[in-house]
Amino acid sequence: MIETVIIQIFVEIINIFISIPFGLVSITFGSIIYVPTGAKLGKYILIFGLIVLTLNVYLV
Amino acid sequence: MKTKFYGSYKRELNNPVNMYPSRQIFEVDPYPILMKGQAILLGDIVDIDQFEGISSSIIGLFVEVLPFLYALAIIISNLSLILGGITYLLDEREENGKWMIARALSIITLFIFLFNDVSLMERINSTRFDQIETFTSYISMYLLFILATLSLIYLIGNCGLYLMNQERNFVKNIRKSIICLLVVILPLGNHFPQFPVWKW
Repeated sequence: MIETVIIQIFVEIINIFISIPFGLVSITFGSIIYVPTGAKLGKYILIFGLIVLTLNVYLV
Repeated sequence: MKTKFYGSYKRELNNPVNMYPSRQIFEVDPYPILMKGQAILLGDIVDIDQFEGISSSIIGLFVEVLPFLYALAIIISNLSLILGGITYLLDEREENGKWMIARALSIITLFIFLFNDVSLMERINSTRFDQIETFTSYISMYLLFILATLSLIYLIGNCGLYLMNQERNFVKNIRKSIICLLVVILPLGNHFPQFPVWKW
């Protein structure tokens, strides 16, 4: 009982405070870099944000 | 279950005084966790105030910075769509501007799918985000109209030239302008219904 509650708390904290903010910020920042110039750094940042958000959907 | 927590606070967050959602959420309701049909209050188990120092800074950064990044990304991708479209129209060999159009379109469709997601939008939950979204949709609609009118003028002019003088070059130009008109449809279709909504 208490373990599931603690796991639930951790899941919510990771979800709200880490994965969604950093995923969305990295997606927007990466697209700002990637779209006008086509730089590789922006592409990697964008892919990182997408991976974070998809991991958030599937794991958490 | 995940979306239930934040839905009821939207009315209170429309008040511009409550800009930071985290503090407001923990004060209004002690954050119920539903388990096996039984509601357990998080405040009974953990002291919420310990989290608040860490979380409010992250949430504040998120709420303040993300809308501006979003607006910048949307406007920059629309601008690059226009520039790519113009260089694609005026280019002889159809080489330049093609990848620019592809990048901008992919980012715009990604943002359409990402930020129209309901559960994600309920988590972002800031009034400034709504304002900025209407503002960016207003601006980007006009930017897209520029490309649409340019390609339409190009299409009509090249059709007239082809009627007078039948060369293969004009057919190529007609094809390019039709592609540019098709490119505009997808982003414009997302923004078009929000045309009279812009208010600041």
